[in-house]
Order: sequence, then C-alpha cells, then structure tokens
Amino acid sequence: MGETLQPADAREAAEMVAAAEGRRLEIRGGGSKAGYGAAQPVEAAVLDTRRLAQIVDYDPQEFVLTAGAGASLGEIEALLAAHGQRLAFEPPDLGPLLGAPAGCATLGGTLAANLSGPRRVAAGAARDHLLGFEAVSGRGVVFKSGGRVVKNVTGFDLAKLMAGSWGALAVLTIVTVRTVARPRAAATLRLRGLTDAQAVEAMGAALSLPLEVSGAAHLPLEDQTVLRLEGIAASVTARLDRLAETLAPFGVAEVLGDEATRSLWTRVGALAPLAGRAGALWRISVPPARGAEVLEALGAGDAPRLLDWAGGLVWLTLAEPRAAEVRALAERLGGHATLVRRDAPCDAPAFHPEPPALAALAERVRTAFDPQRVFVDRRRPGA
Amino acid sequence: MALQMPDPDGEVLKARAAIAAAMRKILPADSVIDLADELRVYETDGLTAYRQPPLLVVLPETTAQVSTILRWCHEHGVRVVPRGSGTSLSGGALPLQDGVLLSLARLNQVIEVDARNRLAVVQPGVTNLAVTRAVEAKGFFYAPDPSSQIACSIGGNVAENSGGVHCLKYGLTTHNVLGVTLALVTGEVVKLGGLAFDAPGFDLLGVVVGSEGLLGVVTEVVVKLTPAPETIRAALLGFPTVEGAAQCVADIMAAGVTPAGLEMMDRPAIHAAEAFVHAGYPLDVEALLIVELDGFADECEPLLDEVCEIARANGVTTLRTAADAAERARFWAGRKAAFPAMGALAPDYYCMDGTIPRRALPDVLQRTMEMSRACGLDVANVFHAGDGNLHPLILYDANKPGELEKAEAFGADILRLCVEVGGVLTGEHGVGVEKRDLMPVMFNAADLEQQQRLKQAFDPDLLLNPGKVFPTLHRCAELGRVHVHGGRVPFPHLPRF
Amino acid sequence: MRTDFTPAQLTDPEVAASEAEIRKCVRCGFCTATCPTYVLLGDELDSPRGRIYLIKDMLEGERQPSPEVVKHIDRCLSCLSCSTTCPSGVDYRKLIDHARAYVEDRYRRPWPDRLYRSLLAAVLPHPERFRLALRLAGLARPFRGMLEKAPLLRPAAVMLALAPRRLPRPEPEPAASEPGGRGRVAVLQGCAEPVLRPQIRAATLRLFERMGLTVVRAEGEACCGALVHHLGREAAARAAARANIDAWTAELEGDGLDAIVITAAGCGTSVKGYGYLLRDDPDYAAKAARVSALARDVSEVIAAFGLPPAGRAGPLTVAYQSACSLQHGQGVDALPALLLAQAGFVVKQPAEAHLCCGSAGTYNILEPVIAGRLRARKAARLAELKPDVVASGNIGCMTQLAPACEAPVAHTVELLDWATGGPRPEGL
Repeated sequence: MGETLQPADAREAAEMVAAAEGRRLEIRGGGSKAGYGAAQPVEAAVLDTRRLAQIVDYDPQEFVLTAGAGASLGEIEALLAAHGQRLAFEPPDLGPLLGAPAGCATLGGTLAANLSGPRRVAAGAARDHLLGFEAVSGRGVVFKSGGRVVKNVTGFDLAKLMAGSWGALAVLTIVTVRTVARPRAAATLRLRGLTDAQAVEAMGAALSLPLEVSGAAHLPLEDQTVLRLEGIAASVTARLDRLAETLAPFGVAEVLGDEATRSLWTRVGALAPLAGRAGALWRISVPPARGAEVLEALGAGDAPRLLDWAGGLVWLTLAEPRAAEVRALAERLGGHATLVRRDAPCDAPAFHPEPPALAALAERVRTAFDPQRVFVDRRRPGA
Repeated sequence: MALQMPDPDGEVLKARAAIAAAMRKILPADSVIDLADELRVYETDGLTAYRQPPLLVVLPETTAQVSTILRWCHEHGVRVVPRGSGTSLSGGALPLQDGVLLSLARLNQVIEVDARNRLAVVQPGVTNLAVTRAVEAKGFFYAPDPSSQIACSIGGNVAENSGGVHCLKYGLTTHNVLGVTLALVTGEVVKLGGLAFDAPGFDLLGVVVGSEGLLGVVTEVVVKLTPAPETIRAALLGFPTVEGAAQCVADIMAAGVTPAGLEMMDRPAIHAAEAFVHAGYPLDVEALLIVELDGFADECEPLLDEVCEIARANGVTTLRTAADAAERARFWAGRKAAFPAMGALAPDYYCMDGTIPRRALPDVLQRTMEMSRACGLDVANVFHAGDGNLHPLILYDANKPGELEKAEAFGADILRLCVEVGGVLTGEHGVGVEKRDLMPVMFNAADLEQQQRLKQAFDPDLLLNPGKVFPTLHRCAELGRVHVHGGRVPFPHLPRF
Repeated sequence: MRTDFTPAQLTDPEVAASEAEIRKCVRCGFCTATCPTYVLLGDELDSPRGRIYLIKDMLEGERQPSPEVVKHIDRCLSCLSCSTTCPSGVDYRKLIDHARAYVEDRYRRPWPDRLYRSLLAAVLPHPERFRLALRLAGLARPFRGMLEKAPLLRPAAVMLALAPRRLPRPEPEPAASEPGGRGRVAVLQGCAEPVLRPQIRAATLRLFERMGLTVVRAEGEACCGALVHHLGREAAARAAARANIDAWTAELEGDGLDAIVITAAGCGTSVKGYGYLLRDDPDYAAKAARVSALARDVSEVIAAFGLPPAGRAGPLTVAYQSACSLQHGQGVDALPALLLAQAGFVVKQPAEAHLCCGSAGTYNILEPVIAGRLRARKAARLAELKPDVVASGNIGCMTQLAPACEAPVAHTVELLDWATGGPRPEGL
C-alpha cells in the first residue's frame, strides 16, 4: 500500500507483475483519470507507467507512431503537430474536471480509457486508431499483438480489447497508433436558441448529409449548437454554405473561423461548461437521435448538461445520482450510463452493470489475461 | 490433402446418423443435409485447393435455432464450423470431417433500417451489397466493399474484418459495425456493442470482429450507415516505373488527401486485364494507379487537380480524368476484372493477401519478381496502394502434380517478406487455414498463447472452427501452471495430466 | 478449379467441353448472388456454383445420378443469370444441358414424373394438340381444387391454373404481303405462342409491313425444340433443330433471308444455339451455324431497321419485364425498353430485374412451389412500379405473370405495333 512501482521497460514491468503474488496493482499513468468513476479506494500498489515514455518510432510518411505507453499525451501531440499531424480521435483533457492537474494524461492511459473527443463522430474512437501494442499480462508475460499497418486481420484484434479495458487485463508498455494529417482549414457553424430536441434534430440532419461534419455538439449552458467542418479551404466554404442552407429552418447561423474553432472544440472536449458544477456527473451513451429524450425523461431541462457526438453522448450533472432511474432509462433507449464523478458516497456502481451472461463472459476474458486478478479493474474494484 | 487438420473424433463419426436425427428435431428435415453426394458440394469455399466434406450441413433460419444447435453440439462434444457465403479466400469455411457445417445463408433478412440513427440491423446471411441496396433509397450506403460484395455475407465480413477498395477512406468492417448478437458455443446468446457509439464493459465486439468464427456465431449485425457521396471523380495514372507510382501514392497520402480509393496494378496485371475486358489501359507503363475521390463537387475538383499535380511531379506518362460515370466505370473495369483476367491466362491462380508499409512497395515487388523467376511461376500484382495491402496473383495449373505446392511455397515466401519489411501476413482475407502455419513468423509463443487463452474464454473445449488461425491446439491444461483461484480449479471438466 | 477427369474420359468431346468450362470456375461464388433458387433457398446445392460441383462430381465419377442430384439439377431454371454474373466466363449453359441429357439417359424417374414429362413433350410442341388439350382443360377446371390436394396430380392442377380461361381464336395468316423491299425475314411461328396469344404474331406482321419488311412463311417450320431440350431429350431437340434448319435453309438458298425473327425469347435463345447443338453433325454443322448467325429477337430487328413513327398510344406507364432468355440467354437487355420509350411509353424496370419470374419453359409446371414463389416476388416488384401495363418479350413469362399481376400483360411488339398504328392490344 502506498507503494509505487516504476518499470523502465516491459521486462522490468513483467518482473514486477510476476512478483506481485497476492498484491493488487493499479495501473496509472499521469493519474488524470484516477477520479473517473472511482467509488471506494482499493488497497493496491501503483504501477506507474511514466518511465515507459520513449518515442520508439515515428514515421510521418506512413502515418504511424510507436511510443511507450507512459509517454505524455501532450508531448506526443506536440510532436505530431510539428509534423502537421495529429491523433484523429481528438482525446480530451478531463483532468481538471476530475480534480487532477491539466495535461498529465499519458498516451497509454488515454487508449486504455478509450477516451475520444468530439471528432469521434466522424473519425472513430481511440480504439479505432490503436494498430498494435506490447503489454505485460497479469501473469507477468510480455506479449504483443497487431502491427504497424491499418489493414491487419492477422490473429485476434486484441488492440480493440485493450482499448477501453481501463487497465484490467494487462499493462500497455508500447503502443502503435495511427496518425492523420491536420486539415488545412477548419470552421464551425453555430446556431443559437435551440432546445435540446431541436439541437438533436439539427445535428442529425447535418450528419445525414455527405458533408463530413467532424464535430456536432450542443452546449445549452452557453446557448450554442455547433457543427465543425474541416478540410481544404474551398471545400470548407462550400460545405458551410450547404450546411447553413440545410439548417436554415433552425435559425440563422454564424460562422466561426479557424482559431475560434480550435479553442471552442477543445473546450467542448474538456466539458468546460460543466467545470466546477457540483453534483453527480453522468456520461450517458445512447443512439444519437435519442439524446434529447434522455434529458427530457430525467426532467433535466435546466440541469448542467452537454451533448456531444450529435446527441449520442450526453454529459449531465444531477443534484442526486438517481442511479437506478438513469440506468433504466439509458437501457430503454438502447444505451448505457457511467457515473463518472459523485459528490457524495452512494452505492451505485460507477460503470453500467452488464447482463449476467455477458458479465460471466467478461470474467472469463479477464481470466485469460489476469487469472490471479493482479490488476485492479475499476469496473469491478472488489473482484 | 497435405494440410494438417485436427484428428477427427471417432466417436462422433460413428454417431453421424444420431447427430443428424437430433438436428432434425431442431430443424425441418430438409434443412439437414447428410447424403454424401450433397455434402461434397460444401467441401470447399473460395480456397479451392483444400476440400473436406463435413459430417453434416445444417441450415437454420433463426437465432433460436442457431442457439439450440450450438447447445446440442456443445453438450455432445461435436465440433462446429460456421459458413456464410463460402467466398473466403483463406479457407475460413473449410469443413471438418467430424464437424457440423453451420450455414448462416438462410438468416438473410434485413431486420431494420434506422435512418435517424444512421444504422441498420441485418441478419448475417444478407450479402454485403444487399445491405447497401436496402439503404440506398434513403441516401446511405454500407461502406466496406470487398470485391466479392455481390455474394459475400455480412456475417462473413464480420468474421474476417473485411475491407475492400473504399475502406481506405471509410474504414474496415470493425469501424463500421456497432454491435452483433453472438451465439456462444454453449448456445447462450449475448449482445456485444449495441445501437449506441459504445457499450459498457470490455470491447468484446472489437475482438469478435475478425475472429474468423472461433469465438462464436454471429446471428445479427448492427451496421453503421454512411451518407452516400454526392460526387465521385476518378483519375487513371500510368507511370514508367513502380517507384514513381509508389512515390505518387505516398505524396498523395502525405498531402492529407484521403482518396475514397487508391489502387495500383503492375504491368502483368494491366496486360491481363486489358486483354480480358478492353478497358483502354495503357500498355506501355510499369504501374497504373486508379484514384477515386468522393465528396462535394467543390471538394473533389480541387483535390483532383492536386492529385494530378502530384502525379506530374512523379513522372506520370498517362493521365486521364473520367469525364462521366461511364468513363469512371471503364477505369475500374480492368481492376475489377483483374482476378478473372488472370484466371484466363492460366488454369488456376492463387490470390495472396499481405500488408506492407507503402514505402516498401517497390522493393517488395522487385523481390517478388525475382522469386517468380526463381520458381518458374508467373505472378501479377494488384495493390490497395493507399493502405499497403497487396494481392499478388500467382498463376499455376492445379492439374499438374506439384504445382499447387510450388505456388503455395511462393506465396508463403511473399508473406514472409511482407512481415520482414514491417508489414503483416494478411490485410483482409484472414488467416483461415491458408496462413495458419505462418503465424509464428509474426508472433512468438507468448503472443500466440495469449490469443489462445482468449479463445478459451469463449470456447474452452475448442469446438468452434478448430484448425483455423492458430498452428497448434493447446488445451488449457497444457498451457502451463493451472491457477487455483478461490479454491476452484478453472475448467474442472478437463482431464488433468 | 482442379478437376479429376481421366484422359480416357476427356476423349469424349462432350466431356471435354464440359471439363473446359468447369476448369474456368474458381468458386468465387458471385453466381450465387443472382441465382433465383439460391436467393430463395439459401442452399449451396441449389446454386450454380453448387450445381457445377454436382455436375463435375457426376461426370468425373461416371456416377449413376442419385435422386438428390437429379432434384437439384431439375431445380435449375436455366435462366442463365449466373452466366451474366460470372466474372470468369463459365458457359454454364453447356454444363446444365450436358447434365440434363446425362440424367435423362441414365436415371429412371418415378412414373408420375415420367408421365407428365412425356405428356408435355408430346403436347406442347404441337399447336393442334395443345389447342385440344386446352379445350379439355376447360372441362376439367371445376376439379382443380381436388387435383391440387393430391400430390401426384399437382402438376395437372398447375397446368389447369395456367391455362387461359378463354382460348384466343387463331389469327388467320395474312395473304402474302406486298414485298416490302427493305428486307426479307422469316418469323418463327412457334408452338405455344400461336395457341395462347396469336396476337403477338399478328402484331409483328403488321409492324413489319409498316417497316417495309417482307415476311416469308418457311415450309416445314415447327417447334424450335427448346422444351424437349430442357427435359434432357437431346435427340428430339436435334431433330427439331434439323427440321427448322431445313425449312430456313430452303428459303436462304431460294430467295434469301436477312433474318430469322423470333418473338418468344425462350425460342430465340434456342435457335441462336443451333450452331452449338449440331456442331458435331457433319451434315448440319455449317447450316446450323448459318441459321444461328441470322437468328434475331424481334426487338433486335425493329431496332436495326428502325421503329416507324410512333405516338398513337397514350403515354402509359409500362413496366418492362426483362425475360431471362432475352437478357441472359441472348444478351438483349436495354434494347426493348429503349424501343418502348421511343414509342412514347413511360418505361420503368422493376427491382431484381435479373431474377426469373418462374416460367422457365415447363418449370412452372414441374417445380410449382419454387415457380410460385418466384412469380409472387416478381409480381410484387412489378406492382411497386404501379404500371398501366406489363410488357414482356416472351409468351412463357406472359402466361406465368398474367394471373399474378393486376395490370394487363402484353408482348413488347404488341405495344410497339399499337404505338405505330396497330390496334390496342387485348386486355388493355
């Protein structure tokens, strides 16, 4: 307890895991998401990945980057930016929202949480950009999967499993991610005065056209519904026109330029309007056309809230968790709900419980990687 | 057949009639096929070199029937091989002598099209093209488009994580599937993923896509729909050297232009295709690129100009842009006919599939030609240049003793080369039986063991599609120390040695 | 794919020809997507790829055809949709024809099956017998319900259902027309068509006169032989072919012929195949090839010589049903629709246009369940177009579809005749 292990490479990590014998290990990068969903603290030593931070290989021409999982996300993004590239899934910095410092996320932690920002709606989630990895399993064995190319169906796609596993299966030591070129131009179309339902309609209409909208969010606290377009300048202009035309029934639109677009969407990803709001913070994932229904059913018309992914991702702060109600509603609408942060202790699990057959399968999958349950799984912290 | 498959279980073979009778209690009599004459028709898929009639064939029509069949087979230790349209080029649907071949072809309904949420729910036997047909009236299409899309099933696409020309821009199957209903080997039915962008728990959906029928049987698929592009433009570019063409590809991608499709053909492929369909290809070039751009007109035009500029900077000698849809179709006609065109040149062809970093293309092509000369078999290359996925087509004559083996050895050498230059064994056709024994080229024992352990989380008795993907079979007890957890021994029904 | 024929087997030219086609097949499976029986049944055994495999197996092993193999071969419609789809150019028609003949030679069908087949082969090719049979059918009609219940009598019930309620009066052959001067053509009289819908020939003759073509009646012309060919009776098929070749050759060597015109798409495919059918007959090979080279569907002739000025018919919505034998067998797909549009009709084509309506010669009688399902599917696709009339280039399709379509069904040439000055077709 209180102990922190800091392996410098996979071999050391493997030794540390193999030597764990009976002790639990909590995998941690920068701790930016330590507060995400955390219910009761678990007695465990910390396996700190930040020494696994080397840039192994960056090949801008092939759009592929291989780095230590503990590399700082900020440094990675700066490196990519210097080459006119970026990570397509636009990982947001949730640190401040969760009570951690800004900018302390690691690449591995981001992938393990499948943390994906507004551009997920067009470019896919973090899991879609992890091409390969090396990791240490709960048995203390170093193994790898995937490769350095996108088109790869050799063996099971363990990368998908690792992404979003929250460190429950193995500790990532090296990851290979796909990069994309930064677009030459970006702009945002902004509508004001829309209700939640109208906003979902508008965003749905925009995404049903071949306009390659790369961000669709509704920020009722700031009275704005925003849609982002990126690409070459002439194309962005033409698509803006078409978008404004399509959304004319929803009101007059303003256009934000490149700079304003950049800062706006960083704020959207970081959930800036919800910063400092007290209450239970819910992340509700539903089919996008049903986003407004979530809010209406919960009577959350005035609650601090934000819709991203065209309505498919609802962030909501409630005075009381109302977990049973929120979860039942999310399920009825075809989704699930995560209690990301709670102000006061409550019994509800942070992560949405799965049906028994699926939960049993998940346990067997966990056994395949970590039979002794060395790693803490924040979805099932006691287990 | 030289290929080593798991030894058939003698008890199961003896019980064939009883198994058929049990299946006839679950399905109508004519949905169970057990006559030798008829079983032979199911003995192979698109990889015709390998043939094995199954024990029986069953043709269920519902998830409930699939579940019941699996439960019965699990209880009686009978192996199961799932089959979609049987178009796999890696032997994914190759039957087992003691296995029930479970055809999903009769689960062929489009269940729902939800345009507001941009998704559709379909049964696994629906063909890839039929999914697009079902949604095109609403202005959508289903993006991954393997060349066999007219016939291949969406369930098979899920099993193989299929790609196609347009996956360069729109992603592979795994990027376009929101959920599946999976019947586990025990008959339990679970839903992975769903209708929303993500689902609670581990991304089991992500690992089931591309799992080649080893983890469960897909009985329903939720697919993502993509708005159909307004404008499509295409260019045909001919280069005097492969290096020039390859550099052009790299420059196009580096410029941030993501074409909808970017294909390359080498000289032998160009000539074969031209002789077959007369698409008007230039015959004096070493490499031909077909670039397709889609989107809004105001976007496609400047991008097309840019692509042409890049081509000129790389020494293009033939440059044509399609004036209309008919001309665009002619650009593609040769590429689409490349495989059968090769088939017209020799009695048989063997289609390989590997992925390499784009920059390695000229080197790999040159070394492939050297290997071709060394072994005496002709080869042509068709290449998804945009993502480095190559399809060497090796010509041979299956009726000549020894030629198949020579072709396979040549193919294996090409795949080894792909891995050597930093690529992978298969980009879209899957491992199946074809590349199974090459897995150790890419993965060490620990890597393979970890994948095997995952397999056992889904199918501890190894009843689903054994003999595919992994070179050797390990039962859990053989994988080293068996861990005791909470006083319980895992997998208690397995014998301990 | 690999085949396992012995060199001895390959000395037989029929076997060698089939082996060559089988070798071309790479089992890509594209054909399964457009095969009506696979689309309905989802069983590899009822797909072209599966049938090719069954045929390969049967021929390689020189096996006695089993009832199961016969069942799957019988279920093939010979629509040739697979050939249109096949990227490798497998000539499936050669394989299925070879297989049917092989089965006919070696397999003893159950007696009811033999009886119906013999009945069809004896009656349908002969218009007078067919006409008589249809008159008798009128008497038997009240008993259709009873017949349907007995499985043995099912085909009889189906035949009754297909038989028209009212037998059209035969149209008198017009007196030898004024030589038109633009061309001299023979128009195959056929067997079923003149009995079921003689208006088709009448319309053709009127239209050709308007176009300035001289129509010649060739002495000795009779049924083209398609029917018996598809029942596997090759000798009878060749005999029918020879009779027609003799009749047309007489004209060719007489005053000459510019085309041999066929108004029933199924027959057109057959006549265009005479050259192949008689390729091994030293006395007829050359003559057959010449005849085949001159064979044309009526739409091809109209297009070649030009449709006369049209506009006499209203701008009705025509649903064009592309007969399999025309689009797949003869490769004539866009042409008839273009002619109808030229004639002033609003032409629409249904979804799944490549799928057979289930007529396929005598298929609708011998395989009524599958034929019924295909008919319902085709009728639904046609109804979606909300047509005023359904146009088809084949009497078989017309007979099959008429009971299932709300809109009247007419032959393409009847509509073209009407649009250029002829009478309104019956039923409209």
